[in-house]
Amino acid sequence: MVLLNLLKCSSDSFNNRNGFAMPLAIFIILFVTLIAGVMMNALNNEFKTRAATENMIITKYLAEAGIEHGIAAISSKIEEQLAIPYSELDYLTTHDLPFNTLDAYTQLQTVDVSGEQIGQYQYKAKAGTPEQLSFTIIEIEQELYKAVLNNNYYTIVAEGKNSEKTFRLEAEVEYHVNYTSGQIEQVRINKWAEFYD
Amino acid sequence: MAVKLFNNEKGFSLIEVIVAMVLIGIISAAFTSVVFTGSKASTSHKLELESLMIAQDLMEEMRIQRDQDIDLLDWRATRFALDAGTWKSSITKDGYTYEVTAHVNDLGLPSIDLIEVVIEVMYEGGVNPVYLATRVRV
Repeated sequence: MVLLNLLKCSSDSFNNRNGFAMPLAIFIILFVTLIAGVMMNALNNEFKTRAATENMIITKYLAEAGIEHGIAAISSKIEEQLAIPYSELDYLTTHDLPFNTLDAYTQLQTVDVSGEQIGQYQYKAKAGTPEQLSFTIIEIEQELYKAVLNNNYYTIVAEGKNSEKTFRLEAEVEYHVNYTSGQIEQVRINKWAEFYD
Repeated sequence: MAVKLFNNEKGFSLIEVIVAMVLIGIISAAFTSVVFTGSKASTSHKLELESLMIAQDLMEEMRIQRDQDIDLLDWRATRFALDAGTWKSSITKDGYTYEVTAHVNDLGLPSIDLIEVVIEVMYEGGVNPVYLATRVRV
């Protein structure tokens, strides 16, 4: 019975002779507004995705600059030690060089071009890993005394950041030193981890 | 019922038709504007993303040169041309032209050989260039 009434009512509304231009216009307006809303939302998502991708790549390269800076600073300190001529008097003595003597250690470095800041980076040793270079003087050849590294592995943590995001990298670096020639032969990255906030 | 609807001989009133046309016109104009702006923004996003990819490609190319012990200033001189004090190059991809500028600076740090490399890419008609910057040991 209710269904019949509904059908009748519906039939009446379609059979009326008043026209329905206004309801049609309202329907079209709603439909078009809905489509426009969906489009704007899709565009907004596209914009956000692009901005996030861009920030991630920019900050990753800055963090990599931090790892490179850390490796270069440690290498420089090792080479400094290798250049020092030690004598028999120094045999088996040890000395430590804390990382805070390294260039730019834990200090924010700014990268800019033509006065426009692109971002910043900093590096430091990972918490719980060696934070100093430790050397022992030994006789590597007859009457040739050199400072030898007590530890060849160091884990550097670097952060690259811009106004939006921070990218963190961790790299375990292994130093291969030729003490006879006094040269770093190879710097190898054994472990690499990436963290994006 | 449908037959009755289409056989309705009265039709819409003139006022209704005019009001409906005006409303539909206004909404169509707004919608067209939204579609046009959206399409423009979408193209601009695509070009910015492409600029980023070009910058990334050049960064990786630079790294390969560094790993092969090639002087980065030599790489820059072969890959870019000096134009009014800056090293520039033009890349065309999918019908769009991108202007690339390479900044290679020795940081001059005492006893540390660290070079700063900044790649700047901007598509033709673009406003904001994309910058990728890093520092490498040499």
